[in-house]
Amino acid sequence: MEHLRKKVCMIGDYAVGKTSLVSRYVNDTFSEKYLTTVGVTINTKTVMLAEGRKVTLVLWDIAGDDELSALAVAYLRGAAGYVLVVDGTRKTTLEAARRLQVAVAERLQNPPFVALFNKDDLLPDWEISMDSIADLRRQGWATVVTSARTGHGVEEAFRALARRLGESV
Amino acid sequence: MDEFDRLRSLLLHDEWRRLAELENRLKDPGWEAEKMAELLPDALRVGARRDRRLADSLQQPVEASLKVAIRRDIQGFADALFPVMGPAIRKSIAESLRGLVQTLNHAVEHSVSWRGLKWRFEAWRSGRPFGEVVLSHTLRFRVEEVFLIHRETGLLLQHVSAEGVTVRDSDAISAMLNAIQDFVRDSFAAPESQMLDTIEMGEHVVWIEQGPHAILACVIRGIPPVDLRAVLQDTLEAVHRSFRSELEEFTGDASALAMSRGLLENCLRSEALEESEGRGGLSPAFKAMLTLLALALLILTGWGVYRYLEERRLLSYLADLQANPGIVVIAHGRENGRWVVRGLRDPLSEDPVATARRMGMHPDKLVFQWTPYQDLAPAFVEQRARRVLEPPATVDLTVQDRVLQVGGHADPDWIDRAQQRVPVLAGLIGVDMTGLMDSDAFLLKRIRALLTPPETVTAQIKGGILTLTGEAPLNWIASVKPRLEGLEGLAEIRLDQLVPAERRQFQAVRERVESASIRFISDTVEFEPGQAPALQALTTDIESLVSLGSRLNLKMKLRLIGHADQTGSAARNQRLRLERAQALLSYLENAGVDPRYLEASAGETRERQVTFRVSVGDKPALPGDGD
Repeated sequence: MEHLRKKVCMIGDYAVGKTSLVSRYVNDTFSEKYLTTVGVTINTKTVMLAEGRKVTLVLWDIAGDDELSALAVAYLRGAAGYVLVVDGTRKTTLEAARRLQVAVAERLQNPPFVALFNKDDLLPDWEISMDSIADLRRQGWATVVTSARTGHGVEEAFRALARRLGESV
Repeated sequence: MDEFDRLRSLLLHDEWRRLAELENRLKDPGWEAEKMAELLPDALRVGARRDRRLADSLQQPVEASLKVAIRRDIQGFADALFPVMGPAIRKSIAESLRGLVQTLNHAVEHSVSWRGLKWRFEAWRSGRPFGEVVLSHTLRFRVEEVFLIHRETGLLLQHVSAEGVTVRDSDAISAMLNAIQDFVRDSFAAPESQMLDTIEMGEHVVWIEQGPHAILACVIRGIPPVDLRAVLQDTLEAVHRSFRSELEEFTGDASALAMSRGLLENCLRSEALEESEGRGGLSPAFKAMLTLLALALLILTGWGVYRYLEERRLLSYLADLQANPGIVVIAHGRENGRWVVRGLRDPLSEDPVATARRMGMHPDKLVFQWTPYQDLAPAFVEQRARRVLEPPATVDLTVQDRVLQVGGHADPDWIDRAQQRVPVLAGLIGVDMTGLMDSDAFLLKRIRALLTPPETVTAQIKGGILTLTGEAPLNWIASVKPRLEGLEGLAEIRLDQLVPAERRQFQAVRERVESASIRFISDTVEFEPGQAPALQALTTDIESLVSLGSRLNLKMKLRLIGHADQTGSAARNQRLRLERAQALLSYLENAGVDPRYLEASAGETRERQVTFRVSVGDKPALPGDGD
């Protein structure tokens, strides 16, 4: 069986729910306290692809920031792809995500990514419209609406990312 | 020019020309250099690829030119080398320091433990430095896991673990190791070239070696030897050599590096040392010697304790001995396996050997060295006095306030002798013999106390014979023998010289009676008037006589002798004499006198009276006894 390993980073603004998204669907090897101390917490998730291919995603959950710090850049090095997380209830997080995406694309030669719009369960409070998401999709972004609380869309998001990674190999 | 030459020039004219051209060119230094310059790079490349000859031949010239260059521009070289040298030097210093520190740590840790002492001894014995000995003994480690990590992505390339080691999420761990590297580098603002190479955590240590494309991380339990690093470095280099292209092209598929497992497993080394054996550790000879030493120490201690107890016992014995009067212990010591006691001893004191036996000390183990002395304690002085005087049992000798008191009683011979021998003994300032009586005197004293003789009695003792003289009442005389019954020293009691007092009384009354007369009226048997007192006195006296006489055991008779004067007839007078005596007798009888003692008879005097005569019979007559 083909077994690939891919480094995937999760970036996004503060409290967008990156950690919560990951926690229920991964092997909890390192607790999130590392997030505040080392600035990253690492978990793994193995995803089965078609044709019997297995991919182990090594998820680097990088501490939230609206700018890309030097340390974050170091952490991002070698990533096969990344996950951008946006908090649907806060528009500022989308702007932050845009900035981050640009920075990453610059430094890492435009690796594949997936944008997750989190907190689906609070849809009525959302500041980000579905239209703006559709816009981004038209620009080529892979977008998934998720809720860490309900779990809606999380599996799909990682599968989408895995597919994108598989394609780029 | 001869024919041959002409022939040559004809034939080879062109070639000559060309040769000459070439010659000229060659001679031209500028041309030479240019051509050379063109050829040189390629030539070098070819030469290098072909074999080592170029390198060998260039070695000397290059060396020489370097030397010249350095000499010419030292600073320039220094500047050029500085960036390289700095880190290289630092790194080497750091390595050696770390090695030193590790050694020191081991050394300090083990310096005061029992093991450490053992190792120190070994170091001294074998002549090796202590640090080296420590290292040789503390090699005790086990490589538990080896991670081969892709440097750029942090992805796990290969992972091997030792037997029995639980493997957690190795992907996450290898990524975290990478992340930590980044984090530390970022925190200390260290350049990319620097890396974390050791993580120490309690029992474990993680050694990390970095290569251009991959990182080797080993989790080691225990204290790994310094040369394990070299093994890791070699392994990493081998991996890079063998899998260069795979590493360069890695994007996530680690299957291409599966073969590297062998190399990684080579790193799973371990070394566990048993306590009893070890590299260059304790030899059996050493252990035997240690055991002997311990045994010897034990014996020594045991002997020491035994000696100490023995000495204690001796000291308590000596204390007891000292407490004895007449013994002064001055010193004690040990000679030839026996205890020697030195001191002063009065010959009269208790034998120390007896004391020793009493106290459970073995006399054979004791040697006494006594200097004789005289103890001036009263008890000793007394004893000495006794020896000199040899007193009988009846004599007491005591020493009081340095005066010898002699009391009691002894026979005069002894007393004489004693007085002659009165000792001049040390410790005495005098002798008092006033309390000493000779035996006779003593006996006499006792007798006197027992008899309480009246003043009229004199007692004398000579040679145990008591002679009593003088006068004493009969009952007292009778009590003498009983009272002196069993008296020691009394051989005989002579009472024959003792006169009963009653005798004299008897005699006195007798005389009174015999000198008494009762007068009668003429020619009658009637008393003359006024005789009452005389009669009274007479009666009393006669009664006294009777009682005295019986007490004296005398057979006494009182003769009443009647008398008449010349008037009247002879016959009548004769009759009157007798009648008068009988009349008095009756009177006395009536007065209560026992008539058996009385006798009437006629006398011959010419007086109208009755006189008396006492006769005593059955006993030898006393002087003055009448008819």
